Amino acid sequence: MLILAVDDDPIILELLQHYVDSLAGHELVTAESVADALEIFKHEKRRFDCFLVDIQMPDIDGIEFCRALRETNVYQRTPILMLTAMSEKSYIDGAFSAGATDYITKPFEINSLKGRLSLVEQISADAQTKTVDRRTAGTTGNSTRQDEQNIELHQPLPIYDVDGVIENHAMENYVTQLSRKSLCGSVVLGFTVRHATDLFFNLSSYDFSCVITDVAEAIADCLLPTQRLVSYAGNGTFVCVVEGATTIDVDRLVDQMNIYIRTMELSTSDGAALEVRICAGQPNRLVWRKGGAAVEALREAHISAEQAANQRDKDMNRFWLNEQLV
Amino acid sequence: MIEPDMHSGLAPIRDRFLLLLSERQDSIQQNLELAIQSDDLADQYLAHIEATLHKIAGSAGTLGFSELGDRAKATETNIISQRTNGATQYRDIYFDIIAFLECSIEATCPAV
Repeated sequence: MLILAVDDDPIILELLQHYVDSLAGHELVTAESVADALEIFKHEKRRFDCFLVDIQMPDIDGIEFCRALRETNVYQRTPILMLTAMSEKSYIDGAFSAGATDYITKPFEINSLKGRLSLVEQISADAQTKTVDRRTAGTTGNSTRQDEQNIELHQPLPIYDVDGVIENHAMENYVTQLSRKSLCGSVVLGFTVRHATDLFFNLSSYDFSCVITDVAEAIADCLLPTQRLVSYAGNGTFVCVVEGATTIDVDRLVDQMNIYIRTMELSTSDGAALEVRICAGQPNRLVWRKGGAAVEALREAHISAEQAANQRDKDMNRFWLNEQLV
Repeated sequence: MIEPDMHSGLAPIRDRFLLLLSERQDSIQQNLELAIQSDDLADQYLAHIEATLHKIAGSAGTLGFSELGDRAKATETNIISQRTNGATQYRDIYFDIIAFLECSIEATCPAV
């Protein structure tokens, strides 16, 4: 991989250079500031496969740089590993919200860096081949382009340009890395698009991914002003980590989200109106969970939301059946 | 304080870290004196010290100076905590910074 490291500490850059040189198959380019990095972009003809970015830097910090990278077409999905000596949740939340893939805590060891680089290598390869520019498709209105992406229903689609929405693997990294203490008090909650399977089979891939993006926006906006991270886990289901929400009125929240979605007036590319509604699973508090157990909580939230959607459909069918009998 | 099992390839980087550490100590000391002398601008000088400690904390551990790195991080955290809590008296922080400087001098010039 061609890696760009941005850190205002020359010692960290030297350490990274030393470590990366000792790993086969990687090349490191370094910059002491975001301004230097921007200069490198002007001259470097090759595309970077991965970024290592310090969070705290003078002038433009790493979070701002991360956000700017995600706004480019080329680096929407390229792995960004944040480097930080501060393990406070606010820094980590800020980094993931801006689109970071993962983070490495300083001081770091070669094995830790090696492990993270090998984990993001596959993401980097995917990013090279599957970068989808929804904005370009939207502005050009090119219908042949829209169906070029072949997506699967269970696939956790990447969602761009929505505040608070991160990729599914980044969400797993987020809950895996944060300490027990940091996650304590956070709640995991799943939301499912009802009849997602029908929507998936009846819509083009492009239209389905637009629905998912719009629903993601509705969920993320309705969860404000709470600190929240949302990811799309596939199958029409979203998982969210919401901080400090000790009591959530889920029914009210879902109503609010459904109203929000209705006001968006969703439609297909050819103008047909879409009726999209969501429902939520049971909120699950992350009390003293860590690593694999925290990832398991995401899975449970996913399952709970889908079960809620199935139950809702059964209840509706029963209701109509009773009506007909009467 | 230097841990013996350092990767040999890191030795030149460690030497540069120590050179830089000496400059950073001077910078901390200078900002500390300025902070003590002018209460009004103390917060500004402490911010400089905090940034310098942050850099030391980031690389010291990797280069075999774990204790120094931990000390830098603890001092940095203390400064952040006091500054964000709107403290008006930084006396305790000043002592903490002086203690850090003593600790870091020991790291660069270990007693024989």
